[in-house]
Amino acid sequence: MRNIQQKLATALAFLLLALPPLAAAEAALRVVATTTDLASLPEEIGGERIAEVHSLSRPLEDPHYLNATPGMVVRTSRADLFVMNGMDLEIGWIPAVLRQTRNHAVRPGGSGFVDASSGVRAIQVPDVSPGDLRALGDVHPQGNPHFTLEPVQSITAARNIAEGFRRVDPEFDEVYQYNLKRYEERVRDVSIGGE
Amino acid sequence: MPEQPSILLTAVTCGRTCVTRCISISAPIVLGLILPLLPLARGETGEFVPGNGMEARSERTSALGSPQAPTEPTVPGAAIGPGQRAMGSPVNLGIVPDFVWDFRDDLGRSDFGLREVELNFGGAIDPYFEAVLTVSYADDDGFDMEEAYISSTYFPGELLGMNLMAQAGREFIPFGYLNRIHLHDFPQVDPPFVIEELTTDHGFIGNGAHLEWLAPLFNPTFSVSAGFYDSIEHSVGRRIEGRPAVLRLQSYWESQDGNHGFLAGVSGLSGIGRTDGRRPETDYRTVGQTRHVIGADLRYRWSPTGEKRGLISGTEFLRQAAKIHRRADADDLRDYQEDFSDGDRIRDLGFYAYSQYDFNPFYSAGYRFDYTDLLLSDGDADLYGHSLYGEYRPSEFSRLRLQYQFRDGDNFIRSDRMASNEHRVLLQATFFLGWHPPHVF
Repeated sequence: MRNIQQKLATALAFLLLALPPLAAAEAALRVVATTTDLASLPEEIGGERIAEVHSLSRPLEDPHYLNATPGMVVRTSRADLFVMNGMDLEIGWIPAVLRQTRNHAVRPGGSGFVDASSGVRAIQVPDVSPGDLRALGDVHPQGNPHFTLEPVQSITAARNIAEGFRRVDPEFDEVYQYNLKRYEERVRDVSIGGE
Repeated sequence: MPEQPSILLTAVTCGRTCVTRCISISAPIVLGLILPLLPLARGETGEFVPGNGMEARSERTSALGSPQAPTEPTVPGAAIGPGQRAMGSPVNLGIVPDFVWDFRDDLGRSDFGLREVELNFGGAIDPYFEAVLTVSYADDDGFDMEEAYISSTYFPGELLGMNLMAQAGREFIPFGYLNRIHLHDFPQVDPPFVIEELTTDHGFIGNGAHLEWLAPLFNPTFSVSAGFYDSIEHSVGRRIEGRPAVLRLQSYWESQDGNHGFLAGVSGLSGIGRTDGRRPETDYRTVGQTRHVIGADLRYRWSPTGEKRGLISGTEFLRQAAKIHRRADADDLRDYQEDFSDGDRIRDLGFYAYSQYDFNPFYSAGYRFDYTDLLLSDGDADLYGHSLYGEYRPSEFSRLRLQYQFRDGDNFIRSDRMASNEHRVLLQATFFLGWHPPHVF
């Protein structure tokens, strides 16, 4: 009888070990972004609803040339929201991560997937046919992806992220919209003197 | 008359039965995939805004490679909204020609040719399944279906945080590190000796399925892969006694500053049940039976923050145990016929170790050391090797490699397979046209 109790206790312990990710996901949100500058935006918009924001790249790393690692797969597997820069900036490594992630919500088309470049007006788009892009070096074939360097464009990215928060955490949409509005005001104050 | 197009029959130059069957199976699939792709190959994309070439395009192509307009949700119930664009075309297509010039002083001759050209197809079938298909052509072996598998991460277990992924079809089985990588993506021009001798340069390709479980740990990560196969094509894997089964444990650890990364794995391949020497009709190689193969691999990456230089080191150890069947193994045992009797158990092992320094994104140089027993030699004949190589990558889509190799075969007491010592120079040019399946570190 004691043996059975011990086995049950062991089985229960294993089950509990498997459950913390779910419990944590309900308490607050985990966000994974591809770059550090993008990671700062969910912190602004999510505020206290954010449990963790993790950047897959380090501050001085070139996001064009990263290696996809198993750690990235696990990070995205446990994320509530995934934010990528888009415009082919992460084309060399993000497909490998998203293909293997066990979290379907953060894959393209999922509720937790955010392409921050959506709606951004691309500049410096090579005006050549797709077949000739590689002949030009295939550098930024979708246009210059470094739009977060332009403060006003980062507002578009912030709106995309707020929309992502609304999808994954609709009960707190008012919080996100409030934080978004504050962020927009701050950016305008800084960049165009509050006009 | 076999029910297959005659053009495919002419493509089978080696006349091996298994290759013919692969072709007959793969041909309709390949043609079925190629034909619908023709419109994509013509490059139909979104419109451009007239201008001087540096203005905004009205409809950008998708972030991961394909022309796209707003699409239906790929996950049921998930709306496509701002910042949530779908990406990817139905089928990605890639072509990888791999040319090699090979000079060997023992033979006193050099060869140049198309070592392999690889056709890659892949993409999402629907929200639940993805498919990858790889067909290769090599001057030596003709056409070959290297991979044709379906994978999925949709499981009821997902609700319990099980983190499972299943893959079924023909695949590089999850054994070791290099076995999961295509030949042209190996770190050097030629395969390490132990890989070529004990698994052949094609590696273990299995017809079956494997399941991978990813533990919910960030750093280190931990994963377990278990696979079961009806058969293993190419290599000594065909000789596995019983139904092949593979198990791999893998862990990845990264330092806090991200400058150092370690990947470690152990693998085992064995057979379930017994075949008692019977072999499938397609097994044209008259070789014996492998009882099991075990392997251990380690990779280290150093990439200092903010710099484009770095170091990659890797090593892999393989050991296989086999049981001798003199009659069946006649070809491979020709040098050792007098030494073995039926039922004798032999063990062969080997390893390689290499380090490669990346000076910048364009130039690299490295060194590899090899040691291996010859197949079925039971350690009686071994081979050492030293390779120095340099690599130049003009872009992400082309690569040139020059490699010098010295083979020390003084212990080839009875083998007639090659001279005792050998100097070899290899030059490789590899080109990536279109899509290429990405690899994980």
